[in-house]
Amino acid sequence: MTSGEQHASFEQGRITEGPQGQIRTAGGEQRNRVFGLPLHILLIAPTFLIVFGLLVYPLGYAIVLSFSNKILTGSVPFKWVGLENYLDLVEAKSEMWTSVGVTLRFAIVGVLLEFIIGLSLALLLNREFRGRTWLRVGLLVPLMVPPLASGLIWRIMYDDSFGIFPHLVRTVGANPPIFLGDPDWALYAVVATEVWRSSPFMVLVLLAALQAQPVETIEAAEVDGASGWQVFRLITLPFITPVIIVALLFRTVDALRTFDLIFLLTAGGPGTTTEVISMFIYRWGFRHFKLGFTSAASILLMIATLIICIFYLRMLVVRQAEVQLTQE
Amino acid sequence: MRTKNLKRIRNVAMFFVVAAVWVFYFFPIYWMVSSSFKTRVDTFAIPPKWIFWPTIQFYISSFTNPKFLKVIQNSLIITGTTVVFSLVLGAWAAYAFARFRFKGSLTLSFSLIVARMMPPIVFIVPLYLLFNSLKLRNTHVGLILIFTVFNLPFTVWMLKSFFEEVPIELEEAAWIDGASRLQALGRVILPLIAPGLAATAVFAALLAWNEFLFALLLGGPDTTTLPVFLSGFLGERDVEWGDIMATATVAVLPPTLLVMLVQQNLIKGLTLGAVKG
Repeated sequence: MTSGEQHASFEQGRITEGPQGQIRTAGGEQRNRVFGLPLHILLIAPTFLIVFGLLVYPLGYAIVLSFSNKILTGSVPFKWVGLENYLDLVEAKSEMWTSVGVTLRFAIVGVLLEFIIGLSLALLLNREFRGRTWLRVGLLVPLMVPPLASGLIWRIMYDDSFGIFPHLVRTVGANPPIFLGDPDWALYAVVATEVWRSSPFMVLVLLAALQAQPVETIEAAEVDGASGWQVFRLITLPFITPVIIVALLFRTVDALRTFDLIFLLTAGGPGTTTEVISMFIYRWGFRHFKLGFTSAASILLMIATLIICIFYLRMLVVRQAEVQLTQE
Repeated sequence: MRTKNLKRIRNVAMFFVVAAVWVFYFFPIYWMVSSSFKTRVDTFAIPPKWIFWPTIQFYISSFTNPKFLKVIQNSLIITGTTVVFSLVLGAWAAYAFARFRFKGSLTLSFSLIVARMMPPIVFIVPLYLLFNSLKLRNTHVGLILIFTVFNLPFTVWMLKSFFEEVPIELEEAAWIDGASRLQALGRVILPLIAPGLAATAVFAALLAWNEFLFALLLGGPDTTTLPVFLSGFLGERDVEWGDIMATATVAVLPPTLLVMLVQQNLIKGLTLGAVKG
């Protein structure tokens, strides 16, 4: 092969953006086609076929069902009910609002605590000290535990007869509450488990962001006489803000989907004091078998999740725009 | 002299902080493992026993229980197959997104992120009906399919970030030597991102191994996985905590070992490649 040919084929495979954003591969059509079909279509086809079949199609099905009175078993004849399910859900005395309240308290208290613990520990781990590596390894452990197993572990620790927590409370001389059975305590007992399980995620992600920060900028600020707090507030914090937003987004949507943990710890009880939205949907779908009603609730949850995602992503975009402005 | 004292105080304070963090994160694990070695009497002892004569009776009873062995087998088959499917399909799509710009490529790749963010419970009712009519309930295939779908957004994005780190020139060099695009992918690119593939595989395995909602509602007696099996204990009349904790310890062990292996790419795995570790 001469060098000229080499150069030509080098050009062939290179993909350049065409005028309308289509691919133009100077003479390289051959390489990007298999059986006469564009290669990239063949490559993404299987993924999107099953995503379509098992996510998009069911979602459409759920929308259709949400306008019906479909139940799983029973003698009630199927009929279309229009918006009735949605109206039942959003009316003031609907149980959904209780569940929304529980979910919000669970998500906000949980994610906030995780963030505070996460940032403090990330700042701690960003310093040099003996045993730092071991502490990092220790943090990984709760992340590996299946949510279900962590529910079991905490349940045995909370148990009001032989659990370790009531025992510790008794040793200091106080009268322990029934952690998982007391309406005032149950939700926070669940939050504690969730914080234990998920705060390592915050720590590790924020630590990664802190360690990506160039040392020079901090040193320069210190030379200019900035205090530790000033360095953190004016240099470190803005630098890690995008990562903070991403981490909060992940934790928030995960808090919204929490099911296993609550299923195991309290199953939504006592009463409905820990019935997060996933438990609410589970109960109406698989205890009362009201599938039409449940589908409507699912669709509302989907819309709420989308709104939360958009909220965080806009924060991210606004933030990026600000950075660009200050750089100009 | 004073600075020396100050330093000592700081060291001691640091020691207590680190110790507190350790206790908070590690104690529940310790409690699980130690409870799995306690006899029934020791488990229910009030006050809780710190020192006890360990017993392995619950491990023996678990591993001689054919039901439990079947459950482990189910979990291994379903997790293993899911990982293979998610990696193969995910790698194809990730490669397409990393190396081609085509109409709708952005929309399609971001639609996967939206899918990742959706709470799985949203899909449960229609999937339940769909699985019923397709006779996929209580089958390994059904669970493998659904786990793969929920794994794909993550595998595609994670692998995409690894593909993008490989310079295109390496691929072009292979083309010059006469390799087709797919040959170059298989023989040049994939070996280069082997650590990334391993990390992605571990995370895919973790998701499938720990999944509960779908395994519970779309699975059945033939497909009981470890989490479903674990949750079943609580329905029993006489809860045997030693059995539960021994099973939980067995369920926690494989993911823990696997994740220790891929620590380097951990952060990427946790955030769909959005944050580098």
